[in-house]
Amino acid sequence: MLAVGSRLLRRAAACALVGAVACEPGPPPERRVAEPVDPLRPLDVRGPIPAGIKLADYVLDASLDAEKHTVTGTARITWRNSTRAPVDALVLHLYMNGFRAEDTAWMAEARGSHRGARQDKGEGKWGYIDVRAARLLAQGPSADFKAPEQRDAAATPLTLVEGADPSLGSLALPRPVGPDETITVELDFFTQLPRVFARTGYDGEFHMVGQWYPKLAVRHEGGWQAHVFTLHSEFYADFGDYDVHLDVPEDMVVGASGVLVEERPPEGGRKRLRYRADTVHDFAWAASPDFLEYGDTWRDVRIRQLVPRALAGDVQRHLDAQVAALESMDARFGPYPWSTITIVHPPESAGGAQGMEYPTFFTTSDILRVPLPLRLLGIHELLTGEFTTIHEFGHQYFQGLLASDEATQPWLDEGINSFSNTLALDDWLGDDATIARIGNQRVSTIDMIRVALQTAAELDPVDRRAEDYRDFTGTFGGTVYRKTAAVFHTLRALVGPEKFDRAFRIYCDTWRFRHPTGADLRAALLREIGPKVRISDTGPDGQPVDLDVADYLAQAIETTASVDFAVTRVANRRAVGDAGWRRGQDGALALIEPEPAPEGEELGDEASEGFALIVREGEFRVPVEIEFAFKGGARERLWWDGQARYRVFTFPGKKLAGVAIDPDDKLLLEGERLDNRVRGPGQRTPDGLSDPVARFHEAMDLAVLGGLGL
Amino acid sequence: MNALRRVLRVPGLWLGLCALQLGLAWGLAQPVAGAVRAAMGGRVWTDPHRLIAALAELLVQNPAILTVFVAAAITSGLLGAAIALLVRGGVLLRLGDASDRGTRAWAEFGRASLGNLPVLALIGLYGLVLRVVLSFVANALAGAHALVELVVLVLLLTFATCAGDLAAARRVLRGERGVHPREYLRACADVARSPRLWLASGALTLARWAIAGAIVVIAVHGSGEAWASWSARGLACVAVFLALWRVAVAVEASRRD
Ligand SMILES: [Zn+2]
Repeated sequence: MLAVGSRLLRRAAACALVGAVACEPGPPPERRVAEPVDPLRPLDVRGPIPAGIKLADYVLDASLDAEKHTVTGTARITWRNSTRAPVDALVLHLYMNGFRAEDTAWMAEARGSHRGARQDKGEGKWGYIDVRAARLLAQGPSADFKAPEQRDAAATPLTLVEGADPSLGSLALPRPVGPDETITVELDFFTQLPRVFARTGYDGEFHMVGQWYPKLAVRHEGGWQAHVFTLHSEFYADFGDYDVHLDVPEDMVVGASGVLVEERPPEGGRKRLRYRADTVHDFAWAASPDFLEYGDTWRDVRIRQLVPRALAGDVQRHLDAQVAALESMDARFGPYPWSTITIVHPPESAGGAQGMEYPTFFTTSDILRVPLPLRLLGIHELLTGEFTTIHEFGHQYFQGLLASDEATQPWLDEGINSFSNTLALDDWLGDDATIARIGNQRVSTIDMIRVALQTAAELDPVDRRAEDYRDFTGTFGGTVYRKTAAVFHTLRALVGPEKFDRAFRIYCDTWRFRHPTGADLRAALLREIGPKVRISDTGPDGQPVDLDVADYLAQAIETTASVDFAVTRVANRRAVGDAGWRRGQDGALALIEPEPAPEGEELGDEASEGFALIVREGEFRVPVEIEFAFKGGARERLWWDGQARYRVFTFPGKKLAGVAIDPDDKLLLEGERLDNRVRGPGQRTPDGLSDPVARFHEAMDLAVLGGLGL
Repeated sequence: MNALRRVLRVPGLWLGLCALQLGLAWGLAQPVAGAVRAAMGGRVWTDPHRLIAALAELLVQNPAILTVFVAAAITSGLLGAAIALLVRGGVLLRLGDASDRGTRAWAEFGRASLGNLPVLALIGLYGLVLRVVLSFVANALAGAHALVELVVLVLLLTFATCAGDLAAARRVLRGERGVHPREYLRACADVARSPRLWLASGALTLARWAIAGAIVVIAVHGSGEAWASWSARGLACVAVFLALWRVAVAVEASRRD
């Protein structure tokens, strides 16, 4: 019976899927919009680009072999030394070498798998980059060496030496580059793309070409900031202009960072495309003959989606999410500076390439296909598709524009971005937006963040280097993405959205096109919000309750302390009366008899005293609001500074009917919420969970029995 | 006398079985409610539309509750099947002869139920074997096309139900021994030769499954709400009625033998 039953279920699911797909309308007609001329939006819209921030310009010339899945090319890199010390070697990231062998830092940590997918091994399946020749083209005081005529003048051969981990290499120079001097080097490289894995690679004719060329590390005063490519460390580079020539098979539809400025007529089955991307710190592209193209515009920004035919029905939903993200983030974090954004939908078989951001270009993920019978259950979710689009677009700000070092402080990238994503969702769909729904039940943005807090976020503090997060602990996502988002949502709720948003905007405006650190963000917030924020004028003892912003941020970001308050006891007892021996006005003792009164819950209000014990179970000290409900329906709210381990609240002359900690859900950092609301003694109010669960269980029983199984 | 009239003439039987089913489902939901209530202690959850978050937190703290959920579900399935088998003889008897027996009715019902229990269980076992065989047949017939396979499988499963009803009716009402597989196979052959019988019984089976599906849809859309509970209970009573009607179709057919 079970065998038949499970087979039946499987069949039913398969048929429903077939039915759903069969009912799916064909792809909407393709639509194109004109290619923007300038990779940047007009100056009066985007604002000026700070002087001197472009330190690394690239001219890339690359040819794709779509059969062998290789890219052969040259990279001409012009770099200016903006530090005060001479530099005698250039350090380069060779990211693709992270996938070269089992013992690279990346593969050793990931043990060959990423987001549940395993890397294919073997000839043509490992990814690597081989720099086959390097030349010094020019060196001197700040001349423009980008001009091609400089190309072969006095080229000096150089040697690139791979580091202990092959994802880094260094290029010794014959003469150091002095402060403010500029150098141009040219490298011939050969890149073998892996079978789609960890954001990059090929799948059939689909090619996602990311972290594919030799790329300069960032020079700080103290030396090169160059990270070995590991599982969680993403990318960090200087801004610059990219001039990229791509030579690809004629039938390829190509999407890339920046804008297409030239397309030569095809010759011998191949075509040459030229792209320009201004003031960016990376360049990625994707190519497939099976892409359909959908162009749209938001104000003066071109939105271009490249989609395999099977997924084309989803473009409108992704477009809506993209527009919502632009609306929200452009207004909150400053104008989006580039004139284009390209969204690539990897084919279903290339899931490993989903959900990755590069400047003005990202890959998104497929929207879950809900089979027809399940749609009857009212299942709807934004998590699999729309959320990815919003998230990856958010990286255009948090890492694309505010280009923090995501290897050293990944929370500035993934965490602040996650924070911005929930704001965008709320701006789009209303506060505490629903991101998944089944029947009459919903999961909100708050729930999404909270679920992660309970489990993993207590092992690592937010402020850790990417490489210090071990894959084995599984804490990276919960801490870096979710806890960081919760930290800033909580701060925003405590100090007030207006005050917070103003301060955060100033941070964004100050650090556009720069490389802010965590300290920069904290300093900006502290400066703009102020060191102390008055939360309430009257605390439980009549004195005001303040939030110490620096202390809050230190606990939230540097420690693993968790926010957890609990109502551990609520009771009503006899208030102190006046019975007993008392000295009268004449000085003599007189006995006052106690009034005969019932005990416990039978006591009248005046003779009672409600008291509640609120315990701070977590190590995190933060002000918290508490709502006391009294018999008869009156309510009173009080803020407690949350510094001590516990606090007893007493209410002479009133009987407590219930206590709720943080009734307005301000402390998103608090993962455990169930112990926040407790009813008073003798209260018959239902717990709100057992009845619904029992009702649901009973109904499912009735469905299973369906006529008593007769 | 047609099958529907046979059911309508014994409203007490329908109501009794409804009470049994509703009681069983309600009774088994109580340990679930109790487990959650105990785990909640004095705590309160106030958002009726965000129960998933509350349950997720509760289950992380008290994983044992999940065991209570599963145990209650399995028990209700097993008990439902057992009770159905237990009353099957009596149900067939009452549908076969609805005349008023007064106080003797209970005794006769009990005798028919218990007396026929072993044979009806055996017929049920034959039905199980047949269903397994038919699911392979459906697979073979349909090739790779899942939709075709589902339709074929549904048709064949309604066939097995109909054949089982007919074999049971012949045992209880016609005094057939019903033990030998040959008798069961003869019932199968008779159903196969009588498309109208198969159609009537099959339509009622499908209607009952549709009702079960509707209960699930309502339970999900009205999670925890009273209207959903009452709708589910009402629909469950309709499902019992449809099941009796289907059995009555087989009773009617056995009369024509
Ligand atoms: Zn991200």
